[in-house]
Amino acid sequence: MADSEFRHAAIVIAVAFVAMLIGPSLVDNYTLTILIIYGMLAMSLGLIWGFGGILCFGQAAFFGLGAYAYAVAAINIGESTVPFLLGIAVPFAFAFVLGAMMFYGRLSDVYLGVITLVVTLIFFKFINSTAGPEYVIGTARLGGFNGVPGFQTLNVPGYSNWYIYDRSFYYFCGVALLVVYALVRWLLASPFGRVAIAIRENETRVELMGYDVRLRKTVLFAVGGAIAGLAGTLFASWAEIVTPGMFSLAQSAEIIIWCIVGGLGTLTGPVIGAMILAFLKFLLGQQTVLDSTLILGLILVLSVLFLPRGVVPTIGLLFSRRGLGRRKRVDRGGARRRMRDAANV
Amino acid sequence: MDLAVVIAIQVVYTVALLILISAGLAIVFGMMRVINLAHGEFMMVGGYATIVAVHAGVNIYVAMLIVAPLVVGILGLLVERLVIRFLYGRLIDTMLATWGLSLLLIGLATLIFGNTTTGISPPIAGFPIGDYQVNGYNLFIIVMTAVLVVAIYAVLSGTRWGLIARGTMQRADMASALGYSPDTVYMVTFFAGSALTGLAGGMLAPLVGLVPTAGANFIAKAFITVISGGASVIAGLLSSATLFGIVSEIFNFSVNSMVGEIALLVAAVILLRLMPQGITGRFFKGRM
Amino acid sequence: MSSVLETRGLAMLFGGVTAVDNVNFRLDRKELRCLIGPNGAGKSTFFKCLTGQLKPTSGHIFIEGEETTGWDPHWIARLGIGVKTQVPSVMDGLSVRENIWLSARRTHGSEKARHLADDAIERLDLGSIAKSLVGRLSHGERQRVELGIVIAAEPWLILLDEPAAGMTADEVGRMAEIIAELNREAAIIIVEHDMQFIRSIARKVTVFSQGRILVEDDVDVVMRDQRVRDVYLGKKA
Repeated sequence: MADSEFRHAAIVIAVAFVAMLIGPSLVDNYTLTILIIYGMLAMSLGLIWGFGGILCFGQAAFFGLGAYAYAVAAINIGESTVPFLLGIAVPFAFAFVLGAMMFYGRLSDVYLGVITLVVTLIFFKFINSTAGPEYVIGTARLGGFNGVPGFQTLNVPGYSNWYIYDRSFYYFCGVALLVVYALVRWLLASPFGRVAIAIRENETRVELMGYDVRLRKTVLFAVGGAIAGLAGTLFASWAEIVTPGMFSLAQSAEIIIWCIVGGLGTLTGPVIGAMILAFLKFLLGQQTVLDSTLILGLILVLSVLFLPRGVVPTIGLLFSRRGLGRRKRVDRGGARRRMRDAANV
Repeated sequence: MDLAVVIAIQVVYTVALLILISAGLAIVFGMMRVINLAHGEFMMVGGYATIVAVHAGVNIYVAMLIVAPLVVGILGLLVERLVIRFLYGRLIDTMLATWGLSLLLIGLATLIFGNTTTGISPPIAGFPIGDYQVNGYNLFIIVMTAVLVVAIYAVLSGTRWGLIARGTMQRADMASALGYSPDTVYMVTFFAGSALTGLAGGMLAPLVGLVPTAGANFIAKAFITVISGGASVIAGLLSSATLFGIVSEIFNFSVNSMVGEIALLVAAVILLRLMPQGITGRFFKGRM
Repeated sequence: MSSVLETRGLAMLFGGVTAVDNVNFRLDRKELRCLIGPNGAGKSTFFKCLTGQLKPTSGHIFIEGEETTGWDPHWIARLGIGVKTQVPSVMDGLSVRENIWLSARRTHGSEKARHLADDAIERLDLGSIAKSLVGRLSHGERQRVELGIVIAAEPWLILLDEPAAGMTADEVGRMAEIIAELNREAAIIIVEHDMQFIRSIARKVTVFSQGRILVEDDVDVVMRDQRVRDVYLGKKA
């Protein structure tokens, strides 16, 4: 079991590495980089939703938090190493606290959805209202709806004049994605990961086995927050400005769409889903006839109705006859299961 | 004294507004256990329907009390037949599909009306209380909301249709055994909920500058009001709207309206954290 | 002899309904006890209070002298208590071996856990389906998988809620053997409906009726008791 998973992960990494080297000859670095960043953002939700069964409607909150933490710290500090680490640590800590509050309160799926959504909205409204000069952290003004521009972008650690940009930033992001992928694979293969999957399958049983379900869900949620924060940090360096739009509901919706279309219960699915859809959005942005929001909405509705497994698992099934029907469909929420349990009280 | 009256009116108005924007969602969620995340966009459509009708020369009251509910009701009917009926019992999938729908509607509205603000002016003039000016249209909203609540209650508890609907929601199999088609009941209920939402959108049209993304301002408030409210459609709606209305107005008066909005959201998070069982417990265990 | 499990004045109310009413219960070391009673007598509610899935409204629960009232299920499980629920509670998306391994893994390293899992798989004769996904197994097989999960954790107190429900006659017979074998090392509480099954395994029986303990005695005495017949068959007016 472990051997085949290891081989699978190694193949994925090898193929992705080759694709990363070929990429720049097909599309420009700038576009490729954002596709990779979105891929990482999608993976953060793919991990907690597809493997932990936690549906977060506000993954964008951690994305934005990472970006703002990086931007504000970079303005105050200058050199980018500490801001980079803060861009991961702040969303991790915030997700940990938020997760602990929700999971120790034993909130059901619907409430999880409401609270994550509302928290994202609070961030969005708050950041939007900070245009006044009284909203400063150190020397950084939050800037309200205008966002925070003009911060130090990523540099080689210790050398604040050696910027990592363009082609080298693209490779940096690509390698970061591969490293995160390998780490997450390792996490899922570890006992912690097995228990996380078991919780998705049957929370009550895992609890009756003596595992602390609440703590484990909280940790998994925080790891997802950290990965989203890393994506936000990279985004800040890519865009050279961070804006409240990163916290918007549309951003959250987009992350969910990537996961659904790409396929839940896999790691590569959400990443590929994000890259394809973000590229599609980029192409749609080139023309003005059709609004990209309209297309995204249509894709979401249609994939919920007609693509219960997502693209990657469906293609996987088509290619391996052996696997037909073997992989159980991942429930998008624990809702149905929970209702069944509740009926048996 | 005058100030107290004005503040009292303001608080009641905030509560009424919360009830108004949540009523359609409450019917659909409370009775069908469907969370319509396109609720805000349904209101937005109701608003545009009203404005377009008024510009076409229709009387403003006809536009918002008849045209808007009809347009959105029919939209709801379409949505129920094309999307939602395939997803009954799949709460999360319904939320996701209607979220997609909300983006779709925003996109369509942008396509048709462009990304600019439109609006109409309120049909009722203000009047003074002491030194303070009171908005007459706000009073109209309060009165209309009260009428609406009584009407919903009367329909649900007093009419044959209300009884059939409530019966179907509890035991669809029994209702169909008694000869009532659950399919039809769901359809009619969703139509009614959508029409109510359209009515809210129409009535708010003179108050807000309408843009295609206006729905986002309503969905979160409506969503938390309904979810926090709980099992009973009417009592739940009244209680949570009152609580949230008062909380947000306290912060609105003492700090500013932004803090008021945030306080409302924070109150919702705290409430859900403190009473997770109180509401869902009843919702999902009591009578599924 | 000291009791390993004791409840004092245990009560559980749902709204206005009293499901468990002032129950005083004692279980001795390595005892096998059956809880019976008609539907709605409060057996399952009592059971869920013991496992921590429900928090009792009032009263106390002691496990080996330690008060566990209101503890979360995972803390109670960590005392060394194995629980089998009414409807098989298993992880459908994982294999039989993974299900059982996870249970042993909580207290042991990977290697030892593998041994314990293999052991449980052999004892329950699950070898031929060890690699199958649990979601694709029959009801009886799932019941055994859940028992495997319980065994692999090496509990000294086992709580079984209707272990024979929905099983074929053959399977019920084998379940009785397994339970007898488990009872050599652990105390067991069984909630059960099947009178045949109870006769084949039980010594002492506690009868619940309307949330209270009606009788508590040897199985043969209880079976002859007129009150027990009344609550099961309905009293003649």
